[in-house]
Amino acid sequence: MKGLSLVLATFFFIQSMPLAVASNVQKTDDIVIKLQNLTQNFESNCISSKVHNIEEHILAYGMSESCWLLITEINHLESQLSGLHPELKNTINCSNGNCLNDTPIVNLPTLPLESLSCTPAQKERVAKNCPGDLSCFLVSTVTTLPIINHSLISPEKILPKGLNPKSCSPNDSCATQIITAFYDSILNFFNSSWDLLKKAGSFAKSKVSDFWKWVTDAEDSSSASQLALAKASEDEGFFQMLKNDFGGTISKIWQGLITSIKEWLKNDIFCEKWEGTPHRGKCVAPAPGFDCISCKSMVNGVCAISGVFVSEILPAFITGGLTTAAKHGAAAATRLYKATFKVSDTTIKTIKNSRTIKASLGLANHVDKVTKVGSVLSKINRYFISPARKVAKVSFNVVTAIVRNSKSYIAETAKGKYIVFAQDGLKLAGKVALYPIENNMTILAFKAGQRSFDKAFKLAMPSIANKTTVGLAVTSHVPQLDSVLTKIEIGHLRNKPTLSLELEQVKLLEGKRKVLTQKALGTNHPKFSEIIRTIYPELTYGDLAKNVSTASILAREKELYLHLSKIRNPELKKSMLHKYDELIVQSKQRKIILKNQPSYKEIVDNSNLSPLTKGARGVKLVGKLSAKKDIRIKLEAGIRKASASSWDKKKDILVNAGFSQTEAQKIIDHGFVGIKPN
Amino acid sequence: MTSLILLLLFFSSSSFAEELSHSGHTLYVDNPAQWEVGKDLFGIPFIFFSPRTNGQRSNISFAHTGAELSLDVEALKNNQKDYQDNKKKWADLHSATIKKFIPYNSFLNAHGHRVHSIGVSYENENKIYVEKSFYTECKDQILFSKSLRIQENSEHEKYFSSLINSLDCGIL
Repeated sequence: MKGLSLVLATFFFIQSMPLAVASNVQKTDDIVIKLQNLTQNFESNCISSKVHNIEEHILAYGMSESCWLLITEINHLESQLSGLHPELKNTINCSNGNCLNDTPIVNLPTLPLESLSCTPAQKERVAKNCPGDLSCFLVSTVTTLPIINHSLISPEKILPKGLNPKSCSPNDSCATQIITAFYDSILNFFNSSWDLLKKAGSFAKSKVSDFWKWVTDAEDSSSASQLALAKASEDEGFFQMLKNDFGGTISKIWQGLITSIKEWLKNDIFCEKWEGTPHRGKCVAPAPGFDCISCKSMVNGVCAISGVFVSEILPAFITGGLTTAAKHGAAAATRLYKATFKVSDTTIKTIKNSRTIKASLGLANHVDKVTKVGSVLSKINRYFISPARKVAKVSFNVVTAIVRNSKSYIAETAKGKYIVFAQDGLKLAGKVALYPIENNMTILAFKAGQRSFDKAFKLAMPSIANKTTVGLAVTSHVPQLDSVLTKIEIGHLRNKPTLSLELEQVKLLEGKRKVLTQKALGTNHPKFSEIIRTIYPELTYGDLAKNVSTASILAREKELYLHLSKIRNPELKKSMLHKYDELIVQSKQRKIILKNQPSYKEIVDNSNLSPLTKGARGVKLVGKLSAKKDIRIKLEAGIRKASASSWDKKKDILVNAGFSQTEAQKIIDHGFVGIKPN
Repeated sequence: MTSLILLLLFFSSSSFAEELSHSGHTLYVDNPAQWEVGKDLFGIPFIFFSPRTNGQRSNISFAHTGAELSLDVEALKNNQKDYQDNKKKWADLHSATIKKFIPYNSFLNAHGHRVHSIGVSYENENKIYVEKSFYTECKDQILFSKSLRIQENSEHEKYFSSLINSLDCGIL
């Protein structure tokens, strides 16, 4: 039952650890990979790491929302990373983005592999089973040893009470080798330490000058042993046990040895974080999971390094730890490994890199995790010193600082939104809607998924950047127009319908177009397109033109034309009329909407034609150029006559000349018989 | 009468002698105070323990080294720094502090065997220990002994001396 529980506990432990660890490491790895990609993306598409003065650059060009989203996402992910690794906080928060200059690599943060740590119950279970497990190893080997006094270390003396020697499974050859070496060291070290001296016997007397050097092993061994015995005698009970039950003491020493090796591996060989030089300084992050490794697994682990165990670990332990181990056993594991496990750097490296020992310790599955941890740590390190991260971090800090300290805007452009800091110096082409940022503090409060400009910042009413003289003249006279015009621009930037806004604009323009047009034309270098946009929106022949009457459009065309024809500056007049012809008369969109309706300019132009030309063009307009000659002469004469007559007789004259009622009206509408006065 | 006294003395003294056999060797040592004897503790064949005094038992070990050689007094005296250097290393390893070294000394014991002694005093866990090593040349063999006591138990030093003085080895 006990065995079954142990098996189940071990099974559960091994099964549960990798999943939890994998989840933890994977989470960090995922974040770091995202950070690497985001910073590289930022560096490629937003601000190159070659930009010398990032602040100057941002002040001049602002930052697009897509770039802003990148750096805020970077900031967000770094916060998540620091949540996983609190020791990273200073690194993440450092303002210059170059944060690892004075941090030695050994101080890299470790991953919190809590899942590899034991629960107190697991730890207690392992600790409880340890004496029995380890004693069994001794018992299973003792009968095979010819070198020792069996009465001293009989199974009954070694095994804890209640544990039957038959329940101990036989050791494999490696465990036997380990334990034999242990027995030999404990029981024979003193005797074997004389070997050198024995050999010296064959030397000439004069050569025995190095006597003190030849007896060092015996001196060390006896000093340690006798000191251990002297200390043991302070506790009479322990002393008598030691003297009369040395087998039990050996068992205690054995437990001290194995548990101290466990502590050594945990706190030294596989230590994950050092304060100071590795293996010399203080281990501040012991390898997790060791507390849950059974002592059985520990012996198997020691087997994997049996060469080092026999040649280095055991002798160091015997000379340095015997006293403590004999008295305190496993309870002194920490003290023992610190005092005794002084092995070479090569040995440390050998053990550290041994997959066999890790596999033997049941850490095989975790080795990959530990390797992964190392890889992730390295990735974190590489990320924090990358130029891409630096430029992203500095950019974020610069933007947030500028937003806090100076007037900032969100600019909506055809290419997307930008955060900008100098309206005058804005180097953005095209139409731009500017949203002043009202509450800069919201930048600090943004949350995951709420970092778009409109959510990160509290924005004031927008306005149009780079306003033209016409725009300024119009909006200064009718201020309500500013908001509507801005909204219309934003709608255009977003490719959204603006009809309702344009109808609102028309309403605001009611009765004001004349004045506004005069003001617009009175500005320096007025732009025709701006006059249309701000004062005559119908004449863009968009949705608005489709939703107002043809008569009103024609009236606006006429109105505008008349204004243009009154311009005194001949150059401006010429230029404006040219634009009118280009954008209104020749507009394909207009022809679709107004079909054959002539523009006022066409009417004026037709009315100014010579009488003969009027006749010929009028006949052509109604499609009667191919009529018989006598009929055509009569029709053209009718146009000339109507042109010269009064308005109440024009249509009749045309009908009498041979035009239908419809044809007559069309000729009149096109100005071939003159311009009808208002 | 004189013969009777000598006979009584012989039996009385031999009645305290311990015969210490190990590894095919036999040592003899008088133990009139009947200190407790431990065997094969940490591989040391014989260790005598004093009664508990000042909270601790002093001890002295006996072993036949198995080495057959003669030692040179002058060489041992001149090279005693080797012993001291090693003790310093040992002290470092065991968190002990060397208090003083007891110089090399050479004398003949009651059986006429040359004894080479040397020692050290060290502090460990707030106790000052006095340790002395005795290498006794007995019939071209080297016997090893080591005494250990805390500073306070200087009274045991006399007994250590008497034990070493009585040390003898069997005939091969």
